[in-house]
Amino acid sequence: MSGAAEINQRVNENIRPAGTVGDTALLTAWLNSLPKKTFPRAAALVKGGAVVGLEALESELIVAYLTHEPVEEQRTHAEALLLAVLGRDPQATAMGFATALPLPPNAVRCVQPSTILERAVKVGEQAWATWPEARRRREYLLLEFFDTVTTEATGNGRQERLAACLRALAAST
Amino acid sequence: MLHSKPSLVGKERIGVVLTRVDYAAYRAKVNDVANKFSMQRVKRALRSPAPGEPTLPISQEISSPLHAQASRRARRNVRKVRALSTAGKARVDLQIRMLAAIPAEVREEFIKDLVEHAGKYPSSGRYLRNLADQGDSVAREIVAHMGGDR
Repeated sequence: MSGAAEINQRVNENIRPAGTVGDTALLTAWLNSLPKKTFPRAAALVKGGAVVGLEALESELIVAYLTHEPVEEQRTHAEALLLAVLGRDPQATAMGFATALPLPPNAVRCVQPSTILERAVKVGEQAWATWPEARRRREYLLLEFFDTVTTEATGNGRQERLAACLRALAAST
Repeated sequence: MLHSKPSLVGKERIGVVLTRVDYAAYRAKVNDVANKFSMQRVKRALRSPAPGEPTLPISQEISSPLHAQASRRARRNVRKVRALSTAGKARVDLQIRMLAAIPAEVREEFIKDLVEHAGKYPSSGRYLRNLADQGDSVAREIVAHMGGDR
């Protein structure tokens, strides 16, 4: 695989867009550098192109990002994958590259994946009140993550902020 | 297993999360991120012209120093008007999209922002009125708050 690739997710038996990775060769190089025994789902994503068990994949990718930091040119693509996985639909059950998890033939291809921010603006006080504290913390941290990745491209302390946010997300799951 | 400790920057930023997050803090965060996100899109639009936008023809190239100065000024003006127009539309479009997704009871503060902006920049107000005339319900809601003459 090389060049850009779409990432899709399975939600209630439907396949929907989840994100885009700019350079799959660089992303794959980073995923391949991870120990396969410690990060089996990341390895499965490279090998099979799609993965089930998204909570575990999320945990693996967060720990991988923090402990096996991607080199400069891999960073953007690793973050794009993290953004797709963390920003997945809460009902999603599988995720993968479009080659392994293609959109249905009749799907509208220009539809953009729903972002963390777009979901966040729809959260009303009533829905918030029904969430346990852990869910609230997670939703807040997801926004923090989205903010850091998408709006702080080169700001001071970006990496520290991103790492702190990912650590807190890892601790909250 | 995570080994390293969060930096001071990280601790400060997410301190509120580690204790307790209430709805007001969450909404404030949503507003902050939405605002930054829309401003970022505006900046991007200002940096690069939209694809397919016409550029000045080569026949308008400089022929004398005086002509060159006037021509440069003209090009700068054309560029400014075009860029602001694209950026303004991008900002309004995004904010309308956000507004449409927000529960009606918390729309008020966003509408105030847009009305204030339209007051400062008449082109933004005109664009909102055009959208309202075309039947956009969110734009109509904002225009209703704007009042005044066209």
